[in-house]
Amino acid sequence: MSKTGFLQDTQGAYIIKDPDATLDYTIDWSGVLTGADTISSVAYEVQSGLSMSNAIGGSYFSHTNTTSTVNLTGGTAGTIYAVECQITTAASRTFVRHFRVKVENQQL
Amino acid sequence: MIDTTNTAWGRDRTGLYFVIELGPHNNNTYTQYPFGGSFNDMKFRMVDLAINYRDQLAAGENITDCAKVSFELDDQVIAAGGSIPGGTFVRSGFTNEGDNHYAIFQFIEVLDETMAGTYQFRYRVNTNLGRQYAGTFRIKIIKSPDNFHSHRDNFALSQGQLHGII
Repeated sequence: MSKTGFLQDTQGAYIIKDPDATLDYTIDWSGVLTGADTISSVAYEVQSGLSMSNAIGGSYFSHTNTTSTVNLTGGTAGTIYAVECQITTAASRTFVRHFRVKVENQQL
Repeated sequence: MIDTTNTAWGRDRTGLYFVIELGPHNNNTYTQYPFGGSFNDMKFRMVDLAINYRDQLAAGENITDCAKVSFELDDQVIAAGGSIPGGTFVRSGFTNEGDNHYAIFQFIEVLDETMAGTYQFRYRVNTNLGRQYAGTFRIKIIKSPDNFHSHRDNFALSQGQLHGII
């Protein structure tokens, strides 16, 4: 998977988020999709304390043929939250991936 | 990485900071861009700190609002909409003109020496796509020694000029 903006440690991918930011986070699944297979549906689960928002584009999450996006808001500085994404493809394959959101006050 | 070359910002291990000096004040008139208007015969100086979001915004994305979230000194927390004694934080604004997408925060130099200290300024920037960016920088309010008066003169704003752009 493409991880632009994400960082990596021994537990996997994570991204840093300010508690007052509401931003969209995208996963590029093109690396796991085979042939002409495309994403047909997507679902996200977010650990309590961090929330999904529909402020961006009017929906909490969305997808294209090869990417999925979730809009996240809130969180408490100093806390790490788990986010799970599950996609189902046109060929009825199901993929699940997790990433973490480290919420902290982002210094310029 | 934000390039602070040739700006009045400083950087240390924590991040960026901006110094506002306490000290003797002259009677001056400043026009504050982009707010307009002028301040006549008042004993203060003001600084506009501008943060350029151009590189973070998507095509067609513009700033629609920006605001203070909090302004903290040690354990003293001033909630959104409040101000520390002396009114150091004045107001926020923005400009999307040309190729620039600046969030701008205006501060006033205070006269009260008790305000000296390092403050955390937290802010939020909204865009027309519904995104909400947030960040923190520090303001170091220091007392200027008397023999630094000439330096302070160089610190003054020119009319219509943004100060402390990053």
